[in-house]
Amino acid sequence: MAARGELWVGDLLRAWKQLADGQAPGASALRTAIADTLGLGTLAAPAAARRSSGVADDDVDHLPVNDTGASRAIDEPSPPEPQPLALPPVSDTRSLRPLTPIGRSPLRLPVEADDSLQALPLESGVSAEALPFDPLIDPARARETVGAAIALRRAGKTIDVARLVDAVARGAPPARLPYRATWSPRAGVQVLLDGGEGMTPFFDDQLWLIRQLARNVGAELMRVYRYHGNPLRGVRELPRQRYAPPAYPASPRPQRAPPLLAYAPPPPGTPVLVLGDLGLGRGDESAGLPDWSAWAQQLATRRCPPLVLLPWSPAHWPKLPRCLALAYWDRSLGLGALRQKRRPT
Amino acid sequence: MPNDLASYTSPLSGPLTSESLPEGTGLDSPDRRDGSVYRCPPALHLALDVALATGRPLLVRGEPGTGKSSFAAFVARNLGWRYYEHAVTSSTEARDLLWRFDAVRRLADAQARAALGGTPLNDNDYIEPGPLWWAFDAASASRRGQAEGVPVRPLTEPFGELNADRDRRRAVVLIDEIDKADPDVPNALLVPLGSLRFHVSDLGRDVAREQTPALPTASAADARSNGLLIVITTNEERELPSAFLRRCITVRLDPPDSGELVEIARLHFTRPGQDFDGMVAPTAQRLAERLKEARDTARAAGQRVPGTAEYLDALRACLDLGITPDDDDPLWAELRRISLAKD
Repeated sequence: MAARGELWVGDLLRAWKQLADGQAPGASALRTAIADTLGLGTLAAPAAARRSSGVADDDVDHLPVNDTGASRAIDEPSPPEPQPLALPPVSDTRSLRPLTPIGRSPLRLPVEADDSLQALPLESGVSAEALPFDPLIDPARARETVGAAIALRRAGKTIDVARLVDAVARGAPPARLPYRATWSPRAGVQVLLDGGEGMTPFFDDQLWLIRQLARNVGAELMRVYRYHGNPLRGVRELPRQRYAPPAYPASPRPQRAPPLLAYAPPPPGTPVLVLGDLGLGRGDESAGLPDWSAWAQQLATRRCPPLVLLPWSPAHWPKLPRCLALAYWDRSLGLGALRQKRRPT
Repeated sequence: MPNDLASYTSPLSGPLTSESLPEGTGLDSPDRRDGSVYRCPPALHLALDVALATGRPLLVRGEPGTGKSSFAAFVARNLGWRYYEHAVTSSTEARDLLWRFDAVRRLADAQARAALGGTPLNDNDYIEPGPLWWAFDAASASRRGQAEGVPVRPLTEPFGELNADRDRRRAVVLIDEIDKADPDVPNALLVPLGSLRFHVSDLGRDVAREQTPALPTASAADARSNGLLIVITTNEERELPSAFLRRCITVRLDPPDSGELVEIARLHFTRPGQDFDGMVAPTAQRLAERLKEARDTARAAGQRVPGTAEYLDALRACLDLGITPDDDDPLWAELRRISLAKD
């Protein structure tokens, strides 16, 4: 049997024929419900009817794109509105062929500012629209890139037969069974967001990246803190509602700012991801370097590998301890570079 | 759910019914795996039928405690199909659902054999078939992939007691909480779930789902489906890959409202000769209202939201301990804290 591809109109016809045939009263509504269940509702109902379904534009960002559960990516382009198709009668299936996607839902871009910053008021009579948001990481590779930023190489469940045979062939009795290593994000991550002035242009990127992390890795595995200058000067935890996927009704945002906490490293073995500029944006990076060295040493004793995503090119990077890995946070950032940074030294 | 679905009559899986628990039944687990008690909303029933009609996996989404995991066993009992499950954890690999190979045991046996002598080792003895292997080909799984007539180390079928009287060629598989797995796991399952076939590299052979012949007394589901239903649940702690979602029939289980909670309680607490409406319903109704308050409070605080399972636990405690779910009862605050809020 050949592997089956994605849901298509053939699935819809099969379900219609088996479930809706012979149910004359309400068959039309049932066919619409079946099409909605398959995520092919546009084939059963005119687009105009769907537009009048009561879904407000403001809600669009919080809804899945269709009933298949695939949330719309934050960065997808906005092609033309899908148009309804005229289908032949169910009994005539000979002329049917797989459909090519004809469009996606329109784009909505959340642009959210940092809590501590207030936008300047506009002059009266001036109107302005938010510029399109273009994240620093290629959206098409967001899943693999953000996953690689926190994934660590860990022993899997499969015995590494080659290493085992090699050891036995050398006459070295294996003290422990070698297992094949795999990259996994299951250790979770502590994310530290630089809230300094120099990072102001990148606040949206920080939020975008941690939301991508929550979507792809799971908010349960994340703790996110914001710091100014250096984490050792204190951190504030970012409420999970700010970055967790909106699968359920959103909770109201807390009214009070989270308390300032003394920085504590994560549990041993948990990677740390810093989204910051190490002070480069303010031009006083050298003043904070001893703090960063002390912070990195603290993590090293707990085997928590840190990685700093820095929106400054390597030509500007300060000299730091080797245990503090830096990566250039821009469109060139990819899986290979991140794996290299995360590989145990 | 559209109103039109309220009267949905299934031509495929038929009416799905719960069993009355026998008189004298004591503790009734709210997360039953025998599938005897479940309340199936019409939209879920329709999604089940669409999954059966199209032969696609059914992905059930929703908050924890909304009854996602109990649904598969309920369907298996109603259809008379075998039932298998795998609870996904963060260390689950896609291959765990297909088979596992006990290399450590084989190594130990090989060393013992080298020292003591004996018959050659049989790789099949170290194979542990996973739930998808059992569902695709139970006969082959029960022989660890060994050809008929060749001796192999005995193997116990999962849920053997439950499946004893059920058709070996038809099965329901529950893959529970797939969002707990590493992000690569769902994509690694695309081929086995799409082609109903996989390659056992440790044996160098394929396991494939054969087309199931219709039974002489087949129900509609038997006759029109492939005799296989794969139910996957997710708490949506992380987003699933698009390629995976596009191949599944998806349905969301919303938390039941107060009236639905009482109906669920009716299914779990009705015993022969017992007056549910007179003895249980008032407490069940009041507790359902308190659960809604607790859920709203937990959501506002960004905390874990209590679900149906907690409701049933709290109701059982109220009935057995004589606690009224009202602020007038001094024990209620403590019961609420330990059974619903769990703070």
